[in-house]
Amino acid sequence: MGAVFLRLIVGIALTLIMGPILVVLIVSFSSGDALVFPPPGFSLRWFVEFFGIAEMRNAFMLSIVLALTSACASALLGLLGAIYVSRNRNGLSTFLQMLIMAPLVFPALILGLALLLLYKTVNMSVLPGLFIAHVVVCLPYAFRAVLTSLQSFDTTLEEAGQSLGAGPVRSFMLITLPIIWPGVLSGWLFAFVVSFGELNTALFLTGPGIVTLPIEIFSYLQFQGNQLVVAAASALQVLIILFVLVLAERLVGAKQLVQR
Amino acid sequence: MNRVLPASSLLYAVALPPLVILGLFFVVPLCYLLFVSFMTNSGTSLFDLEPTLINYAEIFTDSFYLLIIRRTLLSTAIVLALCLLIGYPVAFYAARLSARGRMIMLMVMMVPLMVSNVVRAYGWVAILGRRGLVSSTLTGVGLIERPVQYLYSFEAVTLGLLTILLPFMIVSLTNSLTTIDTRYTEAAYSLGASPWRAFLRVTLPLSSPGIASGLMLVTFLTLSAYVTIALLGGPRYKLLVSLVFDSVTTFRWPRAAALSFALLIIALIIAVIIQLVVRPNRVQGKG
Amino acid sequence: MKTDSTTSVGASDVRFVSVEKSFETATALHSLDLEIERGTLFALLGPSGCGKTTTLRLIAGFEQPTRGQVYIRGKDVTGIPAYKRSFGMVFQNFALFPHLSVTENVAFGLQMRGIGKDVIRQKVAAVLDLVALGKFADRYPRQLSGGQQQRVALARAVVFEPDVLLLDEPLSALDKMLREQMQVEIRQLQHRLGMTTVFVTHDQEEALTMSDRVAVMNHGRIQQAGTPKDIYDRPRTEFVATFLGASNILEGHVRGREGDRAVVDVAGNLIQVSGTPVSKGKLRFALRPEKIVLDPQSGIRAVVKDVIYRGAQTFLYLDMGGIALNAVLQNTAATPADIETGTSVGLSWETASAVALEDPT
Ligand SMILES: Nc1ncnc2c1ncn2[C@@H]1O[C@H](COP(=O)(O)OP(=O)(O)OP(=O)(O)O)[C@@H](O)[C@H]1O
Ligand SMILES: [Mg+2]
Repeated sequence: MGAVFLRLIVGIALTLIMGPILVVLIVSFSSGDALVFPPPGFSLRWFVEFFGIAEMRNAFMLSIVLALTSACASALLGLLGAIYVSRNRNGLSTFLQMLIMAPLVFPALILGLALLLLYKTVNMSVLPGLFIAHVVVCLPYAFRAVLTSLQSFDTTLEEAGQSLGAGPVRSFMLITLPIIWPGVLSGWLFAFVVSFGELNTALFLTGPGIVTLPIEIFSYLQFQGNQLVVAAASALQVLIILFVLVLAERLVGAKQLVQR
Repeated sequence: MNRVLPASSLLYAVALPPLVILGLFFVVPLCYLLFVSFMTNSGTSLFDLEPTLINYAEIFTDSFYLLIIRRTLLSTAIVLALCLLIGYPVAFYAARLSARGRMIMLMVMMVPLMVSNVVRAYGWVAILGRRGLVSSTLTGVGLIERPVQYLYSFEAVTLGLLTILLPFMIVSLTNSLTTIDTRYTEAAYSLGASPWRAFLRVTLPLSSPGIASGLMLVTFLTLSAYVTIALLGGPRYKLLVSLVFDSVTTFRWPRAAALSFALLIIALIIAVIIQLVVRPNRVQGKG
Repeated sequence: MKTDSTTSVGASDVRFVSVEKSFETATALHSLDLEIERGTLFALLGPSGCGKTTTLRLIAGFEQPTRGQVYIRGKDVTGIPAYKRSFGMVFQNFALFPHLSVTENVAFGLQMRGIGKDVIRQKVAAVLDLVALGKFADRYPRQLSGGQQQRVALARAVVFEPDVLLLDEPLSALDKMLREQMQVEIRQLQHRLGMTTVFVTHDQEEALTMSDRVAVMNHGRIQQAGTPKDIYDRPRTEFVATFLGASNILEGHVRGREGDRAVVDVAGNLIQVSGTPVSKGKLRFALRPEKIVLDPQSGIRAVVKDVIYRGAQTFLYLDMGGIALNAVLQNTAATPADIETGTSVGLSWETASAVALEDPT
């Protein structure tokens, strides 16, 4: 009885969680003009249409570029922070860890508002401002992944390097980095994915001609654009994330991805 | 413990870039926001440099704001309760899977976590909207005559928030439940506890850190899930975070700032309540 | 502080001058003085937590002293980081780089020193032959057995001919058989290379078998340093006497002197104790059980409380006028086999075997 009940709840939960995403994926390949289920046929017309709309195309490109660059910046900053935190047990390391992890739970829209006020006051231009916001939001994910692998790294290996005459930087580059790279890579991938889907912080920070894909989808929806183009845009989002996840699984293994 | 890199100055240099970036683009803007929340709204510039408490006073006296705050608290409470009620059994199930099965489960949870919220909210729009699946299918079948709008309601917003936040809860609980040594439960059985009592007296208390962290995460995310609320609640069903957005679009920056901090205060109060009720400290130990 | 005479002597490879090391929570070393001569195999021996690893890490430069100076080859290296010192180290878990092959591991130290590729290839091949691992050059550490990993670690540590070789419990990760084999191998290698070697162990047998000199440590202090025989035969403190092998610790009043020995009254028996400065008051001394022989003529008498036959040896638990005493007899043909509980026996030993202890009573 208990087992059946448990399975039932798991089924309901999975349906609720995956259902909407699957619906989006399916209808985006519809050949029809409107949302009907099941779709009348299969076609890629809405994807073609999507790339035909300049705003959507630009938003897609911007999101990709932004995700690539901010993932690199986050991975680098996360690596630096994780090095310090993993090697020190003092006030600063606790503070740094809290500071880096804070944007993970901090209400994203409020962070966006605070950044917008600052940017307006110091006249920051849109693109760098947006980039920095993405870095701040992605940093906790990258940091956490790198920290996990640094904490399980055996530091006597670095001491061995030093005993052989390699300075701190050299032993880090030649020994530590090659060993922890799956952690850094999965941090990068996390950051990429988070940046690619980032929404609530960037809401206030986009500008004319500089709009990310999630926000373009959002405003399209709000102004009642053709819903099937939105479906295609959304499906594209999902597909890219799936692609990145599969890639990540291939490169660093599932274990590295789900551990936290 | 500068065992590894004796050049401790080098280590400080490593801490510096993240400190500077987050200092400049996280701490400073939030302090600035706090400052602005105590300034006067202005028609021409961002704010007038006249200190005032009016922004806060209005929020906690105006009946409209109070209504929204009450509504926000209510839907947060319901989302929290539902997340726990559905998430716990799922996590319980996942924790008992083989390591491989659990890995697959967590991977499945990761995909929705990573897909942008706008896409997931759109999924519900596509299902529940006037031109959505339910409506058009029911019309097609002939069960209803005209398309029906299932969106823009309390139920739609709650459903949306629940489905978006459930994975967070499940992941947090699964991680916590997997670390509980099964020997504790076995010890309880050996002492004569029924499975149900063993669960209530052993497993549940031991998983309190996971419950607490999951609930806190869901609280913060519920309170700030603007886009989900906007898409599923529409103009009719607004929560506190929607008012922050509206104040920004009407250029009342100090008001928006004050609302933000009101939101943060509410979040902190809920977090404290969660800590007091769930008491994760009894497992983690003090300090 | 350039008053070191060792530069001119050139005999000591490692020297500690009043080195103190404190961590936030505790002081690990109290004013340690240490001198290790060139070419010796030097053991740091002591119980867990006594500061052996800390001493080794101070030589390496992984830790810096809170006070005092460290010299390597007469050069003050205090404050110089590890990677600028010249030492090779074998870590407890070997710390082989998992992402590098055996060859790459061994070549690492040479590469750091900017040595040419051809020379590196020759040296690596030579050292791998030395440790009999030539065939394993292209394997990765995880593809090697514990003993082979140990040899790679050793090869990696000596290939660039460092001033000092440091080993931190190098054999503790190996099983007993392998450990005994590696003890011999390390000792032979050390002799062949003549490299000053410091190794840490908490195994007294290992320290005695392997080393030229031993320093016994306790609570952050060196209790005694000397050759294994020296330390075993003439322990200066109760700790040293009991940590290395078993020992009877006896105590009595000094009754007078006889040459350089004190005559001590233990429960009515007058016992000569060597190596003592005092001529009055109480004195404690150590007497190893296996130094005691039965001697019917002796005036020192004790009652046999228990006899335990252990094949090669017989253990006697004796009562000497109310004081417990243990003796171990070798079961040679000469030993009378019929010692019975309750009988009184006469005891004697070489006078040098009763060694005065210095620590306060
Ligand atoms: N990094 C550190 N921080 C604080 N205390 C330390 C540190 N390293 C060592 N200690 C302390 O210094 C003392 C000596 O430690 P050390 O590691 O030198 O002992 P050891 O003789 O090598 O012991 P073992 O045989 O257990 O390895 C111990 O009390 C230990 O707790
Ligand atoms: Mg040690």
